Amino acid sequence: MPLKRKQPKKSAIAKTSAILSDQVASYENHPFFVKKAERAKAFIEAHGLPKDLEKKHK
Amino acid sequence: MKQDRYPYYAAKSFFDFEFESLGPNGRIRKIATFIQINQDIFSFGFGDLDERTGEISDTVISNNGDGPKVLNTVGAIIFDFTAVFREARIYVEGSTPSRTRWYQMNLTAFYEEINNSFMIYGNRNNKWEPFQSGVNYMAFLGQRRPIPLYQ
Repeated sequence: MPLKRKQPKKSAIAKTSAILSDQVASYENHPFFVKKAERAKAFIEAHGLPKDLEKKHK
Repeated sequence: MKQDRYPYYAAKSFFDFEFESLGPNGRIRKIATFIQINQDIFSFGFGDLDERTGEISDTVISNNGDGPKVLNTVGAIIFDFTAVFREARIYVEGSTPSRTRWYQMNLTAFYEEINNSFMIYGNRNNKWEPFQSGVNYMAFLGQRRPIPLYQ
């Protein structure tokens, strides 16, 4: 089950090259991405984070 | 990331992105999504959408003659996502070893440019290390470098 999504800041989005569109669906529950996320989570649980990032994570 | 790339569209959540590859094999819808798996850690996935079945795959070889343009577009999406969610750490792993290798080859090709903005790590023999060209990794993790206080 994915975590609740963070809310992006509109001011930050305005500086990007992306075109916002209502036509883009949410794929967070698509099996392809869910499977990928599960693998990623398992990998990070097994191997942790790089030391540099771990310090900042705590 | 100013190379030739496709226009790309983002959902208002800014987690889901789409663009179209155009080439000899027609129009192919490409989907990229970030899924939060932990505090500030996001799994990045990218693949071709089969509009008939709704399936997404990153193992299909589309042969649409626009590989670099597709790659530039994916790079721009990651660049924009991390501009909006600056603390995000992005985890990338191919669905197959060859796909992971494809990611690695492209990281190597653009390493100088990527390294200016991102800290990149590769996982080798179950250990993370700073990314090095010419080394085979199982997975990658990247984070934006902090913005310098004085520029």
